[in-house]
Order: sequence, then structure tokens, then C-alpha cells
Amino acid sequence: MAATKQSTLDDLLLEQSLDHILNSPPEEFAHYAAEHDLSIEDLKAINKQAAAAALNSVPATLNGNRGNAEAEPFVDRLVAAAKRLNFALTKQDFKDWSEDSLRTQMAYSRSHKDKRTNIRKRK
Amino acid sequence: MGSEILKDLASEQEIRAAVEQEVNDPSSRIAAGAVRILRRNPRLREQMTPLQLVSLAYEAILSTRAWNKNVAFPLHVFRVMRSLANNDSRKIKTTLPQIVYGQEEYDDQINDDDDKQLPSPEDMLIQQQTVEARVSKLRSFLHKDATALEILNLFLEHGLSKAEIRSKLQLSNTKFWSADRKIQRAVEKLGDE
Repeated sequence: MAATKQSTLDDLLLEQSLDHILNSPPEEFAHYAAEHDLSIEDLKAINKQAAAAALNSVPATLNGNRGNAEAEPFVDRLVAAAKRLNFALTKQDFKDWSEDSLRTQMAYSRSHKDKRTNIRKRK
Repeated sequence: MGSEILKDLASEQEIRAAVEQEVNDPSSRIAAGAVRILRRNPRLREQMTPLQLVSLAYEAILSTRAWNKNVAFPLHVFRVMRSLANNDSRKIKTTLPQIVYGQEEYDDQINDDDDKQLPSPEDMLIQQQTVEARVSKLRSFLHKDATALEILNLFLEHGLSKAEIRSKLQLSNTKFWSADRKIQRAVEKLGDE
């Protein structure tokens, strides 16, 4: 455990617990729940209620492309970043991108952001 | 390259179907994960219930988060919940008043980005001693269970995964998970102290 920060230790232990919760056999998970005063039925009810509420609050998009709402600000950010780097790009240059390309780029961007956040957390 | 990634990304319909599945046949493990994540963030736990955390995760999943179908859906939900909890904990931390007495004249020099500030050698030593004390307390909780202790040591000292530990110790499924549960109980006890 050389030079381990307390937050790192807590994160490692959390990782272990979540793995146990997710992957232990049903009978072991039942023991786990009982030991932590959690009722299996209550847990199911929470999950069901949360899923139903989210489905109601986030309606399906008409064309099945949920990336539309964030595509516009994403392109704005791309243009602003390009400008900072002295590239002569405008919104018009991104107009021909397909929805799929946009989705891919947004997924890349999000994953890169998550990675940066994780690296900063580990420091 | 892009098309390969897209092949693994779930479509909106697939994501909605996975969430609908949790309405029709709800898993108990997702909410148990939310309870555990909130225990890791005590300040956040004062402001958020497991139901709220799971709801926020599903909303994020339905609206913005990309789901790589190679990752099991419950694990994806866990990751989103952790990410939301971490973001909210950071917000709580940065919105709490930070008063440093006697430092008024240096106010404009105070770096508001905690991550950039390196701890002093004294702080690092204190932090290290705290970690060692916590690990040794965890070990003491498990001193009567040699298997659980061995699993914990292999995990903490050697960074082995559960699959690697199981194979190294040649443990049956039942014995391994039972010992692993005892570790979880000890971790919980450690958190309560």
C-alpha cells in the first residue's frame, strides 16, 4: 500500500463492494443484503420506480436520435476550440457531418473527459 | 474506426429497451449499488436518496450517456451513478465556504483548483499513516478468517482481480464469495468508525 491516498483506498474498496454486489451469486447477494439491512423487495421497488420515472421524464425522440439536443452546443464548442488554435473553421464546416459522425465524436469527447477526470482524481 | 465504435454503441431504442427491462423485471442489485455509492460520499448522502441517484443515472443514460454494449447494462448504470456522485461531491466540496484565517492578503493568489495543489511532505506522511491505520484496522476485523484476509492482502498488496485471486487460491465459488462478503462487512464496519 505504498503511498496510497485515503481517497484511493476508499475508491478501491468501493470498487470491490460494487463488484460483489454485481457479480456474487444470488444466495450470496441475499446474505449481503440482509447483513446491510437492505430488503431485496425494497431495492427492486426503488429500481423500478427510478426506471419508470426516467422513461417518463425523458421522452423518446421522434427519429430515434437522442444526440440532437446536445449536437448544437457540441459543434459550438468545437468551433470555439478550433478558433483558439487559430484554425479557420466555422459551423458551416460541420454541417455535412452525418448524425453518426456527431454521435461518435461526442462519445469520444465524453470518454476523453471522463478519463481526464479520473486521472485528476487519482493524483 | 468510427463505424467500429458505432457498432458497439447502443441505439436509443436499445437503451430504452434496457431501461424498460428494469421496469418489467427490476434488479435489486442496481439500487444496492446506489446505497453503497452514497455511503462512500457521506455529504452527498445527506442530500440525495438512493432513489434519486438511480433516477438521475437513468435520466442521464436515456438522454446523453453513450452505452457500449460490450459492457453489461447494470455495470453501465453503476459507472454512471459513480460519475454523477463524484461530480456532485466535487460541487458540494467547492461550494462550501473555504475560510483560511490570516491569508486575506494572499486571497488573489489562492489557487481554487484543489487538484493542482500538491500536499506538503507532512500532509503526505499523515495521509499515509491514516491509510496504513485503516488497512491495519480492516485486517484486524478479519483476523479470524484466514481466507478473507488472504483475499484482501492479494487485492490490496498485489492489485489482483477477483478472478485472479480465485484462481491463485483455488477456491470454490461458494467459499470465495462467502469470504468476499466478509470483507464487505469489514469495509462497512470501517466506514462506520
